[in-house]
Amino acid sequence: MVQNRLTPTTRGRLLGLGRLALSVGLLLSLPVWAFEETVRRQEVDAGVHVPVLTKAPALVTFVKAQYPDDARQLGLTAAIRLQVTVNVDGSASDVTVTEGAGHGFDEAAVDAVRQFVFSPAEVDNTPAPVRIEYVYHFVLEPQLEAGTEDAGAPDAGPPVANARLLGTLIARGSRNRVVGALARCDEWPDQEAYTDEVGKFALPVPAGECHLRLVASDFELYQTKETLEAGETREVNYYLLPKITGYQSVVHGERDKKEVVKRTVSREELQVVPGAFGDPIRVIQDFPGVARAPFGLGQLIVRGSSPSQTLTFFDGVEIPLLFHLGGGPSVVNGEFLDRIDFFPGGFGARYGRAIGGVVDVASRKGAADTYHGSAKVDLLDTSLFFEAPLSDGVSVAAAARRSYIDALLPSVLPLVVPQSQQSGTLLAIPVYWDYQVRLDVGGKKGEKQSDGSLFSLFAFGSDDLLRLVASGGNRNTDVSLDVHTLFHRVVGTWQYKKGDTTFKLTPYAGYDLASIDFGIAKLTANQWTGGLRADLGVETSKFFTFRAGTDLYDQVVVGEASLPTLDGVQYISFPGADAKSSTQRIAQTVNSFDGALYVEGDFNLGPVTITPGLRASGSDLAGQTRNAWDPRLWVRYQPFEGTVFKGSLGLYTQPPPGTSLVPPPLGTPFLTHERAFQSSLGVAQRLTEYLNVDVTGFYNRRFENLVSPGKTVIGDDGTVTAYRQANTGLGRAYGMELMLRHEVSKYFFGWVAYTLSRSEQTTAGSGNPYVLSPFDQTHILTVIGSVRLPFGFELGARFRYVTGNPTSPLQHSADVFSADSYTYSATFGATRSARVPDFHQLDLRLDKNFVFQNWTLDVFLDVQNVYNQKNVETTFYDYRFRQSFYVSGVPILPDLGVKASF
Amino acid sequence: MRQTLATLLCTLLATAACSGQRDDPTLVHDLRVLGMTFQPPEVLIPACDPKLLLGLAAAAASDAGTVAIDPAVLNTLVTTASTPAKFSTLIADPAGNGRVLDYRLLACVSTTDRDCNDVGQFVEMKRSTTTAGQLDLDLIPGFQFLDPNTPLLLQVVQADTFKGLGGIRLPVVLDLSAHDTGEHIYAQKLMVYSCQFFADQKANVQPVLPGMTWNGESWAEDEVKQASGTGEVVIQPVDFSALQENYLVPSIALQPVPLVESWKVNFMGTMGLFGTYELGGTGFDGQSERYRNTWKPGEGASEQDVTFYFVVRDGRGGESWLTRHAHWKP
Repeated sequence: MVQNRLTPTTRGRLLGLGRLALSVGLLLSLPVWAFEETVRRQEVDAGVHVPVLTKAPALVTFVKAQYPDDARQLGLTAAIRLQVTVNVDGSASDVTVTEGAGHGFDEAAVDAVRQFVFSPAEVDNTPAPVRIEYVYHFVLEPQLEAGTEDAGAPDAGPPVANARLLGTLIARGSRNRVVGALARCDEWPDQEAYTDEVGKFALPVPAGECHLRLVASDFELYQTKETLEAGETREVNYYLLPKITGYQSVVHGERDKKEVVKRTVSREELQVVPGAFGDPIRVIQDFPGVARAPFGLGQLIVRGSSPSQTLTFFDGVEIPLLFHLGGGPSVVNGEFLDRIDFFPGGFGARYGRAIGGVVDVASRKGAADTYHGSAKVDLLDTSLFFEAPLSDGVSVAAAARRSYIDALLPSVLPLVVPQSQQSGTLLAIPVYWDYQVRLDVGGKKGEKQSDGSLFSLFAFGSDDLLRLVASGGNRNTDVSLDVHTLFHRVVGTWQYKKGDTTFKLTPYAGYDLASIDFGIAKLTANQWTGGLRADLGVETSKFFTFRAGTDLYDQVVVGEASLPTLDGVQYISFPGADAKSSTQRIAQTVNSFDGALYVEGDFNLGPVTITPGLRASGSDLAGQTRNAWDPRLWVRYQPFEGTVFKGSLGLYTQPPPGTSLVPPPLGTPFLTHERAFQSSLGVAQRLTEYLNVDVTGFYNRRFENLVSPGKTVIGDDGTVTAYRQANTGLGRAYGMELMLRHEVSKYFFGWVAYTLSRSEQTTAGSGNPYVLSPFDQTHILTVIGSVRLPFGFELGARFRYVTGNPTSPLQHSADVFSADSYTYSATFGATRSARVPDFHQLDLRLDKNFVFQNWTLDVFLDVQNVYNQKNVETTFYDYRFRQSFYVSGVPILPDLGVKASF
Repeated sequence: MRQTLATLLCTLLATAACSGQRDDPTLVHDLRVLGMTFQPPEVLIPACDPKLLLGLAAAAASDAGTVAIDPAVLNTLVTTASTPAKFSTLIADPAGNGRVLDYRLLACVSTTDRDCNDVGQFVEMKRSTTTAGQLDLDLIPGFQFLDPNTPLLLQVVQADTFKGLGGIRLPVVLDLSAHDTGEHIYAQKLMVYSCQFFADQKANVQPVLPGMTWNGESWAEDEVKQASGTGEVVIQPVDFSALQENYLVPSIALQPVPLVESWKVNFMGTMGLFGTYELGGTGFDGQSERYRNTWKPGEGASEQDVTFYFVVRDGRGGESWLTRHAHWKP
C-alpha cells in the first residue's frame, strides 16, 4: 500500500535509507503474543490441555531491504504487510505478501524478511513453529541539503545527546499502550528507541528541535516537533491513531488437543456475532451439535441430550445457570470473558457429572498497562466493567450489571397484558443483577508463566427475581408470584510451575438460593457448597505426558416449604378438583458429597497419539453411596501437516441430585447415575492460512436416564408409595457435524456450521418403540460472517436454517370430553411422527466505532429476523382439539445500543 | 432480557391472536355435552378396609376369581355395587333444529379408555336415540359384567394404579353422534364408589347452585330476562359458600386428609361470550376466585332467545346445572 507521495521539494531533501524501515519484528510478535495470552488461560491445566504460546519470537537479525530506485525517485513510501513462518530454528520462511504496494516494494520486502533471524517461539515451553504477521515499512529518511553539513559545521562532529525525551504511546480510543513502537528524531537517525510493554520509551536527544517520528504497526505514522533545552528531561503522552481496527491475528502451530471436538471462541468473535445481541455466551448455540432452543431461550440441547445433562462452568466451577431468568442476558459480563470452550461430547476425564456436553467459560485477568473500563447502557440494564494494575504483578478487574426494568416498567413501559374484566391484569416485573471481581497476583496479562507461582481470587454471582402480579378481575385479593434465584461463588487459584510440571489448585465455595413465594405457598432452598479441584500435569518425555487430578465437592441443601396438602402427591386427586386444604410445613436437609479422581496419559507414537483416561467417582447422596467408573479413550493420527484424524469413545455418568434421593413421595431413594456411551470419529483439515474444516461423526447411547414419574407401589397394608422418578430413560443420537471456519483474520471471521442428526428416546420396559426426541432437528445450518470496514464500521450476518421440531399430528374424529375435569382431550397420531414447518432466519448487526482521544463509543444496531419470518415455536389447539394453531416466535426485532469504553 | 421480554410479549400477543380466531367454549353453537351426573354422586362402602380393595384387585387378577372373600364383606360389596344411580346428561344442539341423536351408554374398565372401546373391556348399558336437552336414565352402573364371570367393578379396581384407594372410579361414557353432520362426542363421567376408611367420612352430596343473578337481580328458571344492545351483563350465582362441604380423603399413607370443597362453575350461552369459561376452585396459592362473570352479546347478531347454561362441580364427582333464558335485541 502506497502510504505517502512526497512533493519534489521534499523529496529532494530526503534520503532513502532502508534502515529507517524498522517498524518491524517486535511490533508484530509482541501484540500477537499479548493477544494469545488474552484468549487462552495461562495455565496448562491438567485435564484439558490448552496450548499456550509461552515465548514469542523476537527479531534477532534484521536485514535492510533494498529501497526500489523507482519508488525513491518518485518519493514513495510504503508499508508491506506479510505473513511469515518463524521456524523452530528461528529462520524465516513461507513469506507471503498480504498487503502489497507494488513499485518493487513487495519483492524487496520479501527478499529482506527471508533473511531475518528470530529467536524461536515456544509453545508450552517447547520450541515450535509459529506464523506471524509482519509489516515492513519503507520510509524515506530526510537528507540535509547538499553542502549544508559542510557549510554549517564542518568540525562539529555528531550531535551530543544532552536531553531526554520520555514518551508514552497511547492508542486513541482504547488507551491501550502501544508496544514495540519505534521513536526517532529525524535530526538524529542513528538514535532510536522502542516502547516497552507499557508503551514507554526513553530517547536520548541533543538539545534543540527534534522532529519526532513514531512508527507503530497498525497505527498511523505520528510526527511532531519537540524542542528541548540542554539537560532537559521531558515526559510526553502521544496518542496514536489506529488504522482500521482489524481483528487480531492469530498464531497457528499450536499443539492439537485430544478431544475430537472442542470449539473455542475468542473474545474478539464473541462480542460481535449477529443475532446474539452482543451476548457472548449465546454464540454457543451457533455451533454444530446444538439444537435450536425454542423462543431463543438459553437451553443447551447438545447431541440429543436434555438441557440438564450439559453442565456449565465458570473458570472450572459449576454454576447453576448461564442466563438471567432462563433466557435473558448471560450472567457473566461479556467484557470479563476470555474465551468459551464448548465440548459437545467426548470431553476429557477432568470433566464429569455430565452425560451431554460441557461449557467452560474462562474469565480474564485485569489489564497490566493502565486502567480501562467500559459502560453499556440500554433500555433495560446498565453494565460496567473496570480493570487496572494495582502494582507490579498485581491486577484487578471488576464488572457489574443491574437491570432497572422494575423501576421503569410500572411507570414508563409497563408490560401489562390486558385481560378480560374477570381476569384483571397481569404485571411481569423482572429484576436481575450480577457481578464479577477478580484479583491476580503474579505475572501480568500477556506475560508467560515461568517457573513459580501465580495466585488469583475470583468472586462472582448473579441474582434473578421475577415477580408476576395479577390484580383485579375476579380475585378477592391481588396475587403475586415471586421467583427468586441467586448464586455466589468465591474461587481461589494457585498455579505452580516448575520445568515440565504444572500444578493447579482451585478451592471454591458457593451459596445458592432458590425460592418461590406464591400466596400461602412458599418454598425456599438454601444450598452451601465447598469444593476443590487439583490438577497435575507432567510431561515426562516427548513420548509421554501424564495428567491427574481430583474434583470434589460437598453440598448441603436446606429446603423449607409452606404448602397446602399436595393434591396428587400426598393424596389421590380427583379430576378437576381444586379443594381447599390446610397448610403444612415441610423441612428437609440433604447432604451430598461427590469426589472424583481422574488420570490421563498421552502416548505420543510419532504421528499417532493415544490417550487413555479414567475417571472414578464416589458419591454420598442423601446418605446413600453411589460409585461410577468412566473409562475413556482418545486417538489422534496426523499423517501429514494440516490433516488430523481423531476418534474417541468412553463412558460418561451423571449422579442424580441429592435432593431427588429423599424418601417418597418427594423423592426416589434408589435412583442411580444416568449413563451414556459416547463415541465420535472425525477429521480436521486446514485448507488455507485461515480456513479449516472439521467433520465429525458421532453416536451416543444414553441409558438409565431419569424419567418421571417413577413406579407406584401398593403395600400389603394398602398404602401407596409413588416414586417421583426412575432410571428407565433410554436414548440414542447419531449424526454428523461439519464446521467450516474462517479464523479471525485482520478483517474477517466467520463459520459455517452444519449438523445432520437424529435423536430418539424411549422408556425401558415399556415395550414402546423409539420415537423422536422433542428437539430432534435433522438439519441445523448456521452461517456466520463478520467483516470490518473502513471508517469504523463493522457488518455481520447470521443465517440459520433448522428442520422443524417433531410434533404429534392431531387426528380429530370425535370430541372427547371429561365431565369431571370439564376439559377435552386430544386424539393424536403416532408420537412425534410429524414436524412443524422448518425454521429459517437472517440476523444482521452493524457497528460503528467513534474513536476519541481517551475513549471509544460503539453504536450498534442488531436486527433479528430481518425478513420477519414467522417461524413456528409451538402449537396451540382450540378447546375441543379440533384444530391446531401455530404460534410464531420473535418477529423482526431491532435493538439499538451504545457502549463506551476507555 | 430483551429477547425474553420480546418473546413473552410476542407469545402473549400470539396467544391473544389465536384466541380471537378460535372457537370460544362459552359459546354453545353446535352439538355439545354440557354436563353429566349421577345421583347419588358417590356410594360409600361402609367399614371398608384397604385390604378389601387389595383383595378385590387380586380377585380380578386371578383367572378363575378364586380369591376368598368373607361372605359378609361380599354381601356388602354386592349391595354397594347394586346401588341404583340416576344418570343425567345435558345435551345442547342449538343448530340441530330438534334432530334425533344416536347414543350409547357404556361402562368400561379403564379411565384412560376415553372412547370406551377397548376390546373386551367395556359394557354397553344402553343404546337409543334422543334429542337435545336433559337425558335421564336409571342405571345400576356398578353391577355390570364383562362376561358372566367377570364383574366390571373388580376389573376397574385391578386396572386402577391405586387399587381404589382414591375411590373406585367407574368410567361411564356417553357415545353421542349426529348422522347428518357427522358430529361425534365421547363424554366420560366417573361413578365413584369409595371405601369408608374413617368414621367421619360421609358420602358426597350433590352440589346444586341455589340460583343465578342477572345484573344483581334474581333470575328464576322460568324468567326470561330482556337484554338489548352490546352492553355487558353481570351474571353470577347466588352465594353457595355454605353449601360447600368439608370432607375427608385418605392420604397415600391412609391418614385422613381434611379438605373443603371449592366448587367450580362453568358459564355458557347460545349467543354472545362470557368473559371467563370457568370460575372457582382454590389455587396453589390458597386464593379462591369470586364467582362474578360478565356476558357480552355477540356483535352483528339478530334478535333472538338466548339459553344460558351454568354447570357446577364440587371436585369429588358431584355435578349439576342450571338453565336460564333471556331475550336479546340488537
